[in-house]
Amino acid sequence: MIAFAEAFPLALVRPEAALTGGLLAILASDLSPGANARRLGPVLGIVSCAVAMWLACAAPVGNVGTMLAIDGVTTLARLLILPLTAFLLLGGMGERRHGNDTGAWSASVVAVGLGALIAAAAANFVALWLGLELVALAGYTLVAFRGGDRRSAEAGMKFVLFGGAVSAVMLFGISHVYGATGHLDFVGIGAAFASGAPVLAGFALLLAGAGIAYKLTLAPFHFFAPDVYQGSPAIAVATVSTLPKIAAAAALVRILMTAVPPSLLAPVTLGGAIAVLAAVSMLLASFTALVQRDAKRIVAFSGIGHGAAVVLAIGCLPSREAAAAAGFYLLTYVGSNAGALLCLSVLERARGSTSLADLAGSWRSQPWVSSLLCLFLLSLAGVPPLAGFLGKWGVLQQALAAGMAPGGSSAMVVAVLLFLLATAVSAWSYLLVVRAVVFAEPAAANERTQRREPVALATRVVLGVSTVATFGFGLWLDGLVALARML
Amino acid sequence: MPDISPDRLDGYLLVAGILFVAGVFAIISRRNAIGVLIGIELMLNAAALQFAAYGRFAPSAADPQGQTAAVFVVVVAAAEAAVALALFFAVYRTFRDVDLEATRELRS
Repeated sequence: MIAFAEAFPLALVRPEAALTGGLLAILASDLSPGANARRLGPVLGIVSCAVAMWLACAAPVGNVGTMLAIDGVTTLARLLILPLTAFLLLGGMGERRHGNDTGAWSASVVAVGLGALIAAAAANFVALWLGLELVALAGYTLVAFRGGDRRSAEAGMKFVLFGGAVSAVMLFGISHVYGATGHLDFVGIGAAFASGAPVLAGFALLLAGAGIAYKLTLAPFHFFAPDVYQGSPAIAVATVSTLPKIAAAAALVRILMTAVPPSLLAPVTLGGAIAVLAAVSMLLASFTALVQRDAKRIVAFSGIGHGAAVVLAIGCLPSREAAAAAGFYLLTYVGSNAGALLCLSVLERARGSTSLADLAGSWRSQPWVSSLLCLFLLSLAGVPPLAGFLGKWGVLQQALAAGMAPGGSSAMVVAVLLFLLATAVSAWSYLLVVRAVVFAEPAAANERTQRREPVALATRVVLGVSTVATFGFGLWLDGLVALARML
Repeated sequence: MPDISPDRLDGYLLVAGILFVAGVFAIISRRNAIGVLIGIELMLNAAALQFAAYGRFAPSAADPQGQTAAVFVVVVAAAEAAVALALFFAVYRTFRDVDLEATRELRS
């Protein structure tokens, strides 16, 4: 027993263990013949998230062999992932109250959260790949969850084929990294690079990075997002657009800090190359969003842009503030994004779809939900008193500091300019939704077919928390400094 | 011409490379979702073969990392195939087809 405790220090991974326990409890309750026990799923999930959160706050720091690294980045990722998973479960409780498949749904959400925790803590490419696969497999089922719905099924099929292909490419890259360096753990790979690894290893590392770029919906791995988001239930989109991004961002930070030498792409600086790639992806997303006619597609393109903003901040590593800026950006993004998608979920049920034509004039019949939707979208656009503004401000500050510093990369300055342009353009696409919701005349036929249903209590709670987060984080002026101290 | 005798690494890498390229080709050329899934499985197995081969011919003779990774790949590939086929079944029930061109409703 002592040998096992030394080889596998369970104390370090208590939050993950708690969430695994919750997942197994949900699956067990789902097997029970009583209908009441089956409805326990989300409650069990929320309780296990709360326990994991409590354990994460007091978790020690250290390494689990060469597989997982429990450090500041992991802790920050845990503190983002666990509350978010709980709120997504609560949102699901409100939005899916008539389903008899609550257990399967909550198990999938918890599995996405667990996979995100593992990927965020991974210090080894196999652990990282397994974590991302858990996120992906559970995400596929969430996306296709609306049984019998053509669009949901199509979205699931597209998601699984695209995700599977990217995952296979990533794995192929990982196997070559292993062959060229003899290591699978980030520290060992970093040491191999330091003592002169073959050129093949660098190329293989880029292939392995494809999987992470895909989770962050970075171009050219973004093609799946608009179709998948449009076809799937809004509350599923809220899950697959937030949790994987947190996990992938944490993994990218750890890989860049330990495995990859800054001179990988010499003579180009790695940070500058990453920043320009991110800025191009952002620009692409913001312009394509302008021609979309469906609010969920607009949210998809906005997600591509926000993922790219996180990557821009990560391009400014190795400063601690850069990692904190990425974390703070995610903090501001997930609250507003999940809130907006929850509003869209309520409106989708009432109006049949989230196309701008169907959303037209929803403010008159559902003033509260529509106003909140506009609030969250304005936060995503980066309007000052709201959270999104501070997130963007932090990233901008870091990128400018990295670009202007003596010996800094001029690519970073270009990336900042593209970032500003993309922000201005994407603000316009959010305003298209706001215009449809508030100012457009509702189609007469649409008003007749509308279903009125009171908003569930669980949904109200999550919307309330998102609103508080959207205002609160917008006023947390030293949030970035506080996060940097944690790392 | 690489030396493809069984006790050299080159042959295994060659086979893995051919499998991977065949998988990529299947993904690009197939219109049927199951054909694409087979392509993905070929790519995953190319990676698994490569892990095992690299582990076997590692400089420090018995490096278990590669073999272990290959086992993980086999398990996850099976899970992935199960989820994918379940989703294809859901598509088939509504569209009566799993042709990627025939099952397109989502677009801008």
